[in-house]
Amino acid sequence: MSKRCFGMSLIGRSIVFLLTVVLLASESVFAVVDEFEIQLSVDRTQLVVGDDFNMTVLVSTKSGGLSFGQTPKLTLPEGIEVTGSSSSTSNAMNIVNGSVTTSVTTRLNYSVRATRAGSFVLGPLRMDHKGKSYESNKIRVDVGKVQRGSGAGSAPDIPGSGNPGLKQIQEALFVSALPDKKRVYVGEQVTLSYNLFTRQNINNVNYANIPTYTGFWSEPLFDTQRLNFKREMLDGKEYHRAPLKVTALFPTTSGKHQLEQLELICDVPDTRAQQRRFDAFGFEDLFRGGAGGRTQKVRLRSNDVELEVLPLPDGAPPGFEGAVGKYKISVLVSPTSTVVGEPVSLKLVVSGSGNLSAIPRPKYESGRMFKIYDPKETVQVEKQGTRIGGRKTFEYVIIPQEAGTLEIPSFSMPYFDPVEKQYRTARTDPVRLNVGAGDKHLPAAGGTALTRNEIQVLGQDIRYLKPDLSHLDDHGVRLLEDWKFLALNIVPILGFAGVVLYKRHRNRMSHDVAYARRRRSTGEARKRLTKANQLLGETVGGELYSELNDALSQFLADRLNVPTAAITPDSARALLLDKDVQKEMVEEVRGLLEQCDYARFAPGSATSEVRAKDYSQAEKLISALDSMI
Amino acid sequence: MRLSRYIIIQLCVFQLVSTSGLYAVGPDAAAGYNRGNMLYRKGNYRDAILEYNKVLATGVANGHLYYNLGNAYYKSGKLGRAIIAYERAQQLLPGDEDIKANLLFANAVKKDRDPEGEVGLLLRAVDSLYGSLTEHRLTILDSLFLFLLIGAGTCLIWFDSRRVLWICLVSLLGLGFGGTTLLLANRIGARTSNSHAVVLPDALMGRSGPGEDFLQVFEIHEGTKVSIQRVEEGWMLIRLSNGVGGWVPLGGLEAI
Repeated sequence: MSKRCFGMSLIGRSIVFLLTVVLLASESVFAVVDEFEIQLSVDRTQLVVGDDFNMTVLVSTKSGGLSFGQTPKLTLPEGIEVTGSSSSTSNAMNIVNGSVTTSVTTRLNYSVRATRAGSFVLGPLRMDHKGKSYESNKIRVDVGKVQRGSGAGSAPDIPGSGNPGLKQIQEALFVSALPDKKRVYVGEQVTLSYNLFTRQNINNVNYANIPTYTGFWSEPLFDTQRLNFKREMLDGKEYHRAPLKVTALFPTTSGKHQLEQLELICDVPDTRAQQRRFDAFGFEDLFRGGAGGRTQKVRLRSNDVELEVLPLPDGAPPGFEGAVGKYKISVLVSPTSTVVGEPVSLKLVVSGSGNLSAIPRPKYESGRMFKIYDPKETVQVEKQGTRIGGRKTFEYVIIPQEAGTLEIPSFSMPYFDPVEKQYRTARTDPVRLNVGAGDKHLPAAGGTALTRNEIQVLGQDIRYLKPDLSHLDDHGVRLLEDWKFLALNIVPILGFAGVVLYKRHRNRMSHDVAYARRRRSTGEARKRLTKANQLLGETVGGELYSELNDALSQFLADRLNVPTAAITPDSARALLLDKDVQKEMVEEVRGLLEQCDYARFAPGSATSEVRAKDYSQAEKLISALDSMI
Repeated sequence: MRLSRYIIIQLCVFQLVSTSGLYAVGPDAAAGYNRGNMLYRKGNYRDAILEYNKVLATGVANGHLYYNLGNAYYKSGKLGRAIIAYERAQQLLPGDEDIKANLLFANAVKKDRDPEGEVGLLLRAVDSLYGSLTEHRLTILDSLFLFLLIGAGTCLIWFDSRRVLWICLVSLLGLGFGGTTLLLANRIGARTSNSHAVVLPDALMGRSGPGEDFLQVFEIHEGTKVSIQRVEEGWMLIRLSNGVGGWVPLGGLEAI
């Protein structure tokens, strides 16, 4: 390891050795003081696990430099580990009253980390020089367990502290934490600003620890994304200042609070190179190995900040629940007309400056007229410069329980105003609500209608039995196999056929004269015969024979489709013979028609027996001819 | 006047005959059914099954009876028989929600999963409508269409006015009658072919031919519904719902 470390400035060292050799070559010129010393130092002795610290070993000799690769043997206890190292050598020449003394100091810087809690003793380091054995001093370091926020200094931790560059860095690079006030009330806002001041170039700036602010409610106001440096004079010196963070803190408990420190890690150019510029006779460019240069990692901690948090003064109004700031309350109800049991939305807005997240629900006087459910709360934080404010909305659901013009009770919220150092109460005006009677059923007490949960399925089973029955229907009946059903379906078909036939008959009766006369002939003849039958008992037979003549002639005319006037005994005989009616029957028809003619015009010529015989004959002939023509 | 009276009388008689009350079965069957229910409620599913089957042996076919029988089978752990009972219940009462739910449930717990095809909304609606039209309902509907058709035909012949209206009505009712007649014929065809069966044993091996020597092509499990293709020498050719066919021994399945 030591070879590697020395190798870093091999050329430089060789030249220094060469020069030293030349200077020491003449013992007559230089008085030689043979002194050898090993000195061990650390930058801090109080540590916590995980802390990096710097351990420096200075090897001073007045009799000449160390030979190449010669370093003290480094033995460290378990729990202390080396994470990096570097070395440098410086020569000093003093001329006092003509006598010249020279000294060569080799500086070995180690970056060391404590990995375990406990008390450790570093050293002594041993080294052989010119046949003699030398020992360094011992240093005790205490490594505690991690306790964030325990007061560490604001000085930068620089590997190799104790070197002359430390003070320069301390002056040139620091983080300042500045609260806007140091005495605040519980719940009052403190604005804490972090700024990085530097007078030299720095790179790779990163946060190593961001405070969690135990005992405070914090709201970030500003968080830089990139360092934006501006020139600023401080104590007569010009610095570059970059704002890092601005945080609003609201203390939650009273008492003295030491804030945790903000920690940064950054790379700074190795200031020892600058030191060497003077010590090494202007060979710094060679030593530094070019423009890239070496850098050191520096851990910066912000300065300690202590806040005194005062408890709120006595005399808090009833209902005060710790709201600190300056607030207003407004209320909005919609709709302003409703019916009993119908929900109304009431939006209560608390606005102002202060820690809105800590604002309690405003109080109201509950009454029987309304059912008020727990509100839905939303916070909208607004940054008003370096002050935190905004609005907190409480959305209530109110269900009127009575009809009429109801007054929604006023909501009030007492708060402490830290500026005026007084308690005040923000209050809403009462709101009127017109409630109609309505017919809605009120939800059950407890408001389950509004706080519904998703129904959870716990298990599945088949559905239960069908209930008992007084009789069982046969669902398997097939109607098409049932004669009653089939018969029923035939009825309309038959009916339809009947309708068709009847319609046809009616049509013929109105359009076919021969058909109509023929269909009516029998009925007409029967009517006349009935009338004739009634005339049988009369002494005078004129009317009887007139009816009999009409019945027979009309029947023959209808059946033969000729005019009634055309029916005479002789024409009837001819027509009937054409229709192939038996000759005897034709003669009977002719004889009867002649008899009717005669008797009509000679009333009383026929006796009652003759009249009855003629009537019977007419009836018989019509009946016989009905099926013949 | 005479004509309208004739039509009204026709409809009244139709209604009278169509009511299922005309086909109620004697009180003995209901008593057996209720006894079965009582046994079921006591948790005596075995005897409940016996009681329900006694009622079925009298020749009655009742959807509620089959449903309760299915429940009793399910509770006794006979999933296959439960599915058969539910299927038969559904054939008798296709619109019944309870039957549908329990058939769905029983099918969900059986071992073989039915292939789920993507069925369109319209197709599902048509399928559901067709499923709800039983042979009984289709017969009544067909008869109703016939009555209305004849009524409209009578009007067409009788009245000389509004002939277009009557012709349209006759055409529509004619289409309705024709459609329901076709559906009815289809239903009767499906019933008489009796083409579905359900697997009863825990597992049943399907083979490539009617015999134990043939290659095994699939294994189906209790409760799976298959389509019967034909029967040969104590073996049955079945087709699964995914189209795969195979031969299984006759005793392993029961027709729905």
